[in-house]
Amino acid sequence: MIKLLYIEDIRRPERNLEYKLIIKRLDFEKVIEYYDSIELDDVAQIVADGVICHAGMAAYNVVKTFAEENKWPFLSYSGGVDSPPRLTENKFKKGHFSVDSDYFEQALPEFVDYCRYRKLSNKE
Amino acid sequence: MLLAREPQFDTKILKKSGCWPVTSNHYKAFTIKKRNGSERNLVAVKRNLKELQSNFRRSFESSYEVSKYAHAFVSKTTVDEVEADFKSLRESIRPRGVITNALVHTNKKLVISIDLKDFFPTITFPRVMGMFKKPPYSYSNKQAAIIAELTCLPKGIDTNRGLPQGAPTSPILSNLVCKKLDYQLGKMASKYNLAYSRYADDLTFSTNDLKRIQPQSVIHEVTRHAERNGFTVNEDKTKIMYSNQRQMVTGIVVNDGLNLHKKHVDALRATLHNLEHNYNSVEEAIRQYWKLPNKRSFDAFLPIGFYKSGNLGRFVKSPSKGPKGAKPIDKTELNEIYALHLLGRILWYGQVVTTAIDEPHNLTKHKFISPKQHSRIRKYEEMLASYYRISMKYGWDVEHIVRKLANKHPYLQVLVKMSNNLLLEPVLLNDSEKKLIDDVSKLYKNKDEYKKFFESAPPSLQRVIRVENRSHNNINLEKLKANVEAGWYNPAKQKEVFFELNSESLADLFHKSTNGKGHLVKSLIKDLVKVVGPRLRYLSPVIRKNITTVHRELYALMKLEGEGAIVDFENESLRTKKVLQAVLDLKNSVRLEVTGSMNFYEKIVLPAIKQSGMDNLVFVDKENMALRLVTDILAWRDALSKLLISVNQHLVDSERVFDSRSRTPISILLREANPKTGAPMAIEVYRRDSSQKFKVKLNIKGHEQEGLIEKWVTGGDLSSVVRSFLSLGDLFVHGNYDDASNVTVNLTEHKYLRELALTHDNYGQLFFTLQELNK
Repeated sequence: MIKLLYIEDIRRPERNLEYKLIIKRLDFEKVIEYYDSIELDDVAQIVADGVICHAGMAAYNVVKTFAEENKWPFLSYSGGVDSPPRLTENKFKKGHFSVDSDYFEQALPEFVDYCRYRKLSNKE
Repeated sequence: MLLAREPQFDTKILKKSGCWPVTSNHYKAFTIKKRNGSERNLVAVKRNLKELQSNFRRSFESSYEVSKYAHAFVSKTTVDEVEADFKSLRESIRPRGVITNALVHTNKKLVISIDLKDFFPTITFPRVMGMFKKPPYSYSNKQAAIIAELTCLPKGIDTNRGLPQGAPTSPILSNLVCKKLDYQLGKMASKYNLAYSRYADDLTFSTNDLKRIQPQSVIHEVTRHAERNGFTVNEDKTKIMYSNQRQMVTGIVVNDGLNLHKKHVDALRATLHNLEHNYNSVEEAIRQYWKLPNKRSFDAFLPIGFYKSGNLGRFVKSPSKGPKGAKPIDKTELNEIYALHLLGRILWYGQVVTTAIDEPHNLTKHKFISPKQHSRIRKYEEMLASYYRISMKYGWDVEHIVRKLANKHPYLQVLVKMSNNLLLEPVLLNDSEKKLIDDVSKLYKNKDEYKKFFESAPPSLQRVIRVENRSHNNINLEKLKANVEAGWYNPAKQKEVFFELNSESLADLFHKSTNGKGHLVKSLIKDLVKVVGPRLRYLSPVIRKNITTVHRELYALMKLEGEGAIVDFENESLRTKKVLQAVLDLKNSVRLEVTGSMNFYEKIVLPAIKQSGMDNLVFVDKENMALRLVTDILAWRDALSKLLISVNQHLVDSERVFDSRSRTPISILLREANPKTGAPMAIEVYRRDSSQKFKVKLNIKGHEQEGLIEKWVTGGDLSSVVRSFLSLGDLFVHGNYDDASNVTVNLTEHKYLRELALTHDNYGQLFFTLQELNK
């Protein structure tokens, strides 16, 4: 089984709730764990098959830096006016995805599938 | 020839320049009406002669002192050279004028005002000539005659050949001619314990020692001296004013400190009140004035030359409509002229009431300031606050002027703050900023003092000043002052604003609202003011302009719709069109995204390569170039494009030859900020051929690991890169030089560090770095 981490935005707990509800509704609670520390040392200890966080959260850059270093698949969702309405991979960085926060629910299964497929391919 | 400082006496040269012989054709006479109904004869001097007279004026002003009693027509340069009595005035860079003239006579029991009749016309050719023949001028007969000929009216216009009213030389000549009179009257004044001053033809005497001499005796004595000097006293205008009467000296009331006439102050306050509470437009204010049954000149707050009828327009010279014609003006121009005119009147009042106070903004420190003077300054501050509210109401773009003044007036600060705390311009400077401005204003020509100031200044200011002066030591005072007063590029402060725009309180500007209905405009404004207000003076001009435009449009929307106004960034409507456009402009100038075309590569690197013409010579490693970032896009693009142009010039011919299998001579990669190490973001430019040197001499003496590069090594192209990138960070060059190896030079601050240049397996050796500054 894969293990993904949802990094909580400690500054906006009410916003986290919204996305946690979606994770619950999609029945992903078995594969997605919630992680509420953004301390550099803690994030450095993370072992995961993928990471999810809000693009405007505190310490977004910390999470992104470790995602790059550890080659975690990385999904960031954003409320930006021009955010993409579907799961969109970074043009220049493989495995880094973005989506409009309003379309988080639609994009999440696709991202979970990507992580699952990637883990399998790595094993092979 | 006409620009020479020494007077020209060669009549052949004068003839050649069309100034000799002087005839009626050199002057055009015209008259204007005086307040008493009589006419004042003026002349307009033809261009050639006027230039020559201006040259004379400069020569006389710099060569000869006027008396300490003269307050009219005294320029700053003249004041600089005059006696120590005026030291304090000189220090405050306040030239003499009506205010200093009145200041001599404040708080006196008796003030006597005496007017000289036909002042300029009575200073005639023989008197001017006679003056120049005597010491200290000691010109020859012929030279003195030529000067008099060139500066007095020809017989065809004035049979007495007096000084022309309208010629540039007449004011200074009148002061020089009156020097003897001033000396005699000054002597007489000190004998009777009187204070004496002269403003052109207005002689004023004042005293608290009433027993010493009778007013009539003063007038008698003055008349005697004036007549001995060829002047006549205008008896009708002679005034004796005791302290229980209004004592006016050159239009200023001097009874208790300085003040303006009550009717003028009241008219000004009434106009401000009406504009704030009763009128709805400037047009209405002007039309209402023309409807007044008993108009008085001081009620009119119409700029001079405004069309006198209530129609909107102004008298201007118009070749098609004769010498003067009515020119209609549009609403914007009308508002602008009216706003500045009104402000001018308020500032004049302020100048009068605060003149005797060294530091009006430090009112609390002045124990001896009279209660009346104190209340006048309060009144002035209230006028400014009212003007400020009016400018809000009518949308005049003058708020920043009042807000700047507010820095010096704590009470005004309170008034302005009470009326509105939703404005962006920085009302409140913090203590260290105030101190810095205060300290820099005290710097004068003493180089040691301003060097000391520079050395203790914030590092970010030192950095900018070094770049502007291209030196570590040779500091230009004017540049220093300009930066301290207006603010300077401070990358760290700008980065704080970018951080807030990216993910903190200002991020709402680029995000959809959580409730789907839109953002509350007032909250957006409040956040903008809170975050940007204290940092506005440190932003780059483009960012500053875009942010203030967003603020202005949001503010306009709130003024229109009230404090409950909402703006939805996803759905444009007619009412929010301008706000959305302003936000979009700001967004396009600062925000880079992970997806779409708003990424670092497409917005910055690609256009920079195209602009530099390096398309075929550069490889771009795009891996990190799609990132979420708020930064100054234009500064990055400009700096990179200029850097690549410079790099292109540094390439040697052999580097330009490569085929599709080999690699390009230059590679660019983006190094992202690393939260682990704290390393800031940078663009790195690599050069494949690491054997090439950067062809400059660093002139590093000794073997220190790091130090200063004393002589500036950046030429025009790299200087331009440095300046373009100044709001974001520094430019570095790495590697070997004509006289040094393995050195990294910060080309912005001209500092060096001995270290090996970074090498990359695929791209070669690090050549240049554009690196953001975090601190």
